[in-house]
Amino acid sequence: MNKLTRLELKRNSLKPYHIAVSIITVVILSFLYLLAAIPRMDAADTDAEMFMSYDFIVGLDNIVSMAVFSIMSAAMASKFIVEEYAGKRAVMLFSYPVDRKKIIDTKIITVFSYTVISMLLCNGISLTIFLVTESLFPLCPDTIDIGLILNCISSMLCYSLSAGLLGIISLWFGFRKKSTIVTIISACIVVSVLCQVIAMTLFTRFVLIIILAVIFLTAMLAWTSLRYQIKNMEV
Amino acid sequence: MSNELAVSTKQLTKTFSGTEVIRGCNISVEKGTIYGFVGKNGAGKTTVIKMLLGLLKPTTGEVAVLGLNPAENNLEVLRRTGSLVETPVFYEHLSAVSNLQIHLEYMGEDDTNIEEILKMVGLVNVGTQPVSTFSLGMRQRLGIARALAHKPELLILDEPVNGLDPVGIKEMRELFLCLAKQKGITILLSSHILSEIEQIADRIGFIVDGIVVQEISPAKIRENDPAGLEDYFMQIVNGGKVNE
Repeated sequence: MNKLTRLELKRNSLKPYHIAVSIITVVILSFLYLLAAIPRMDAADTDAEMFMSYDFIVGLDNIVSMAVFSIMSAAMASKFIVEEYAGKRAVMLFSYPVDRKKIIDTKIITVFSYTVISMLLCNGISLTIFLVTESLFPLCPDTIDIGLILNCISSMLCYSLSAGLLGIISLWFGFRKKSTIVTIISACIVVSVLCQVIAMTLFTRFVLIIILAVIFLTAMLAWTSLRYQIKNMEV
Repeated sequence: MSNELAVSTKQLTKTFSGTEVIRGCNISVEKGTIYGFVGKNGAGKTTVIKMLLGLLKPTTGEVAVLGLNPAENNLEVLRRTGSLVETPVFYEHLSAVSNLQIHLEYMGEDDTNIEEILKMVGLVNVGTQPVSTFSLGMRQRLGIARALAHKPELLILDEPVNGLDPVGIKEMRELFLCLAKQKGITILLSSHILSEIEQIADRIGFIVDGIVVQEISPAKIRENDPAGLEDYFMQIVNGGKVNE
């Protein structure tokens, strides 16, 4: 598997994704400061009180990050997988004496791992910078304690895994049509629905765990279906 | 099926969406020989080639490639076969050498001299130039180099001289003859350039509407039809000289 991953990365450059992740990190950091500053912009607005809690700011930041990274994951999956199995490229891929299932597993694991790790890094860096500056020059009246830090870490992990899994689900839709556009649009639709559901629950932990479990099961079904399709694919 | 055959098919059929495009196709290619596969566009050459490589599954019939069934022993067949199917595709942003390195790693072959292979197909001084800048002829040469790189026992080449200039065609002809006669590699190649097939093939298979209607040597063709392969081909595709 290591050899296949290495070959996958040799064939497909990660440079554009590194650039995208760097830009997203800057945007997410700015977004955190914007959320923290909302109550100061309009002190009379009672709805702005929600933004006086770090838990709410972090929750909102996570959900936006998940949406962005799910779409990035779908774009990456379309490049690494959908395009490679469409048309003449598939002939080349199937001409290698390597089990078809191993190749698709490597590709999915590569995209999933990159999504999860890059989202963890992006949010880890932006939240660290945000919380350090908040402890020195606070915009938000809430207090920073160990409970908040632990909540940041656990929720970041959950949302990062969700972003990676949502990429696999969108890939399934895109693969059926062998279309990059369908893959990315599917990611946008799935993530919009999911973000609405999570926002309505006000980031309740129990609901988040249920949602993560459902996403996990759906992604595993999508993965199994992709393996089956590729094993029986004729080009 | 005989052990001396590198490729053989028996009553091979392939149906796409209810339409039978290959209809009881029988071919036999002896080891160490060059087999020319000719037919009009859409006759079924590429479909047969894809079934030999396990890229398509036959609807009915038997296929044996190097004594193996490509549907059941696909990886082994692919390991021992070099192929070029339709227009070859590459990793466009990478050089010819990088493309071949990746190919060899997938093939599990690590003692190939890439520079030598590139020289063999006439691709010299390409350095780190990305494949995206290659001409059609250069891409075709690289496709042939890739098919050869892992030292296969059998080469299956679908229109390998497509896009090559007369010099390139001559060089490839000499290369194929050298591979078959000196290294004992079996070559099955399809082409629309009948004069080329006539010069290099030991045996020619004519496919018409999904059926191989005749397998014959060029010498026999010259005996039967002094006008040559082109005239013979025209008669076959127009319905004459079937199953002689």
